Amino acid sequence: MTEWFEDFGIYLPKYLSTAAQENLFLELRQFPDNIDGRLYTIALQGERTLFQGDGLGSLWVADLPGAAIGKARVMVLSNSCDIAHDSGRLLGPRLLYCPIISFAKYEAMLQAQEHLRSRFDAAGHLDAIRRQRNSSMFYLPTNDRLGEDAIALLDRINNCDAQAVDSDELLRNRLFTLSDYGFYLFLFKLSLHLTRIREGISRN
Amino acid sequence: MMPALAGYPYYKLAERAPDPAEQAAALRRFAENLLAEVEDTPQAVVEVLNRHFWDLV
Repeated sequence: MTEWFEDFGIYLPKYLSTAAQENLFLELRQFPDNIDGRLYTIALQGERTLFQGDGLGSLWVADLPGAAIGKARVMVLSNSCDIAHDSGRLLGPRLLYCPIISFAKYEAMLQAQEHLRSRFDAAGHLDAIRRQRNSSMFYLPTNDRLGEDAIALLDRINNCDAQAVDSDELLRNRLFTLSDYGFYLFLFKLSLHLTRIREGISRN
Repeated sequence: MMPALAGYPYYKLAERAPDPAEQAAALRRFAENLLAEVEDTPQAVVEVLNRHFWDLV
């Protein structure tokens, strides 16, 4: 890892002030002992923009190939600029998001599965999720709006026409916005989930 | 355009020049922590999650 760390600056957000960048590093330095409310910011609460990584209270979700569709809490995966109203795209933007499930319900569900007990370490799995070490789940510690610990399922991506979404209602129902540190962690995990070169397949 | 990302009430540190060596070390530790023990959800758990998805949202 040494070589690419010499140019580590290219992996950092360029728009942050010196103070904000220092704070980001303070948080990165403390990881994983700061997977808590520090993932979120209240600084952007009043903003009408939908930010990448935002939690939204209710949006349509499908769980294909099942035919059911229902409303659920979701986490926005789209890049903030891509879904901005003034993005200048020729085609209307689609909003990408994934469903959020209850951590407590997930835990209870696992404990109820007797057939899993002998071959699966449920406690270890739940701990891996809490420590952000599960590749397809983003752990969401509780805050005032979430009301409980939760999990965003990164491998169950849904989409809808961003213009068909009532942004006023969405913003009223925003559950959280990620802090600089939370956003960095989120992008890191999203990259890991979607683009890691670990498939072990020679393609030529 | 994105709104100005300034004036964070959460962040109170004074401006000071960052130490690149410290920052590189922090970033390295962070990445190593995340990459060291990545867990993929076992297939048996995924199947249970598929069955109970709507009970969990």
